[in-house]
Amino acid sequence: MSRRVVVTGLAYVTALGFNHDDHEPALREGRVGSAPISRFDASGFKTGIGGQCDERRLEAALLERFDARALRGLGVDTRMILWAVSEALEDAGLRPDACPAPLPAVLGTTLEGLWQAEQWYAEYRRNPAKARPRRLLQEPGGAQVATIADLLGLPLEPSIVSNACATGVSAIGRLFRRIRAGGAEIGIAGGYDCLTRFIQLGFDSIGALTSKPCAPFDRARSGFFIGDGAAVLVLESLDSARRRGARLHGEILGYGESVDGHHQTHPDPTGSGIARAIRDALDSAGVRPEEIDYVNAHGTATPANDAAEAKGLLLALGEAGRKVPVSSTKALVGHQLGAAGAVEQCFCFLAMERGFVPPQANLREQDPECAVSVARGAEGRPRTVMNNAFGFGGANGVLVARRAEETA
Amino acid sequence: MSRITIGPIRVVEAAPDLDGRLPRPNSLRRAGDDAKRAVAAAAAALQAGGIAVTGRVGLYVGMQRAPLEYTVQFIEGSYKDGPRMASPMLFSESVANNAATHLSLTLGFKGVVQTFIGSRCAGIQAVIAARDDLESGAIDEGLVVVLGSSHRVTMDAYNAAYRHRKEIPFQHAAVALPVRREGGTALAYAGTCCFGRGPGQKLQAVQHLWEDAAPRTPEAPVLSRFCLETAPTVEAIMNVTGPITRRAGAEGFALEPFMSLMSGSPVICIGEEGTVGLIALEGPLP
Repeated sequence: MSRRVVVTGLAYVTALGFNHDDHEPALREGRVGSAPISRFDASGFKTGIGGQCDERRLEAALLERFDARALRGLGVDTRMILWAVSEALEDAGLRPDACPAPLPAVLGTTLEGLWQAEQWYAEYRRNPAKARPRRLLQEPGGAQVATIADLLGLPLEPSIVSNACATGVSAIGRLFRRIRAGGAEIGIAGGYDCLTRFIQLGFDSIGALTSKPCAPFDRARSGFFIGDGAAVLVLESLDSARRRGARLHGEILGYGESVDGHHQTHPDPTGSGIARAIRDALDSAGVRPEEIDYVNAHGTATPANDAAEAKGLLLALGEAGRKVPVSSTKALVGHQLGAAGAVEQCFCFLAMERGFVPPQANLREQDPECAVSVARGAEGRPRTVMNNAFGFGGANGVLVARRAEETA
Repeated sequence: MSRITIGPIRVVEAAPDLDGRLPRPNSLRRAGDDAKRAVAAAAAALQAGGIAVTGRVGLYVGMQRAPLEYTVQFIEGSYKDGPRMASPMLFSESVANNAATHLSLTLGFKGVVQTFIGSRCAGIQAVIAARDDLESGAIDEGLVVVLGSSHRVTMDAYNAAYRHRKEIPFQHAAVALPVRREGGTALAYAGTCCFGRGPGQKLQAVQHLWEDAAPRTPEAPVLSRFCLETAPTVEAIMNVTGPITRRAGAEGFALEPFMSLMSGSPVICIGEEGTVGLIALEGPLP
């Protein structure tokens, strides 16, 4: 059995705002969401900028749906994914009590509820006897799942994926495969992570962060900034969507994955692992390289990643790889870790729905080692798009999606 | 649904001679003990199962929490020595898919490699993922590796949170088991769900899973973690499932269900945060 899988709802939050209406002008104009970090004391850090979401606006959005007491004590990570799940279901025209119970939920995160754990650890360091243990016990991803189930009254069949920075794409890909094979009719998939002291320190320590503009594929690129993010997509079989007259955002055509097997943190510089994942995705989608109209690159603006990604694209797409417009939206929203692949999948649907190619921000002089066709303007009306996500351990994930009006 | 089997299982516990059980120990010299146990268990399970790793063999790693040993060292070091002295080596060893990375680099997994975290049902989620990928044709065979470990900071938190219980002993181990179409014990059922974190909601989750699984699992279940649930909750569970036994022994988090599974009885796993899992075989685990 091989069923078609469509997206009938989506919701996402980044430092640039909420959903398509906030993000379309920002992506077209190249508006950058970074600012000096205010969430924790970053004095003494090598880099002190990040992409924090508007927490007041997030709270206001949550208070439209939930009681203030229910939200008390929830960290920004939990708040973002709670909002994204509830908003995505509403976008899909689904009431929680009308969803299949339990609803398959594949959520991706690299940090889980680390923000809450960091608050606990600060108490623990001051006085272990006075640290409130239940704060730490709310850190595992299962606690965020339980919060969603509790507050929405929505039983979930959870799976929490953590494949480094490929996580968001992995989560969507996992649910896509399951629905396609007939193992479910409908489910939610996505990812979430927020800027925390630990993760800022971590990427700072390996030299991946920059205080300069994040400039993917640029000769002078020097890394990225960390951004808050959460994105949830409602995936459904086309038959199920038609039966209930659901509006379609688009169709997921295929998913591919691979592992480089090269190094703990650095990608294989030849791009061969990336190329395998891309070919796998194209095969899975039944799409030829020349049909791809836009690639949302992983594009972290580190010297190693962008060069390897460009080589991987050219290896896998051949001549088409020299022509297809490529851009990385991480220049605008930062690297959202477990949320990145899911947010960027939403950007792909945004591009297809609103008819533009997100131009590459901050590009001054393209690196000749990155010999892909970096998008300079927003012209184009992509029909079929590819979304790349790569992570530590050489984890590679690629999704291929198509515009809704093409879904007959 | 086609026949899926799991096993044989291999268990590697904390041991001073761990390095001697590793293939290519030099490549793992910086790895934490979690990752080393994972590699040792995986190597043993692959050998026991006669599996050669190719791009069509999937790897599924399950753990409740990301590696804590190096995470705590990294964070503590940044406080003591200042943020600019934070160690890049410790950071790269602290990420959640660290064990999967070491397994890939050491044993050659290059296709589907996924890590599941966040609850004591993470290992069951790994089995479900392997099963789904076998059924969809994404893989030809799979290996599930499940880790159980803790750290003094989480031990302190658990013992403080549940201070009316006896001091909880913690287990540090890894289990590995092939998931494939033949060669092990047939998987009768694997499922997880979450209705919420309250005792009543956990009971609803148990009820849902048991009703789904019961036609395929006539035996009385084992409750893989007993002491974190109150007596009234356990009694309510028994009203749903019938008589229930509990596994004695140390707290192993995500590897708990697999330690109980070796007896051949279906296992109900209740996460303190609310995710409930059930896994059952058609016989003992080899």
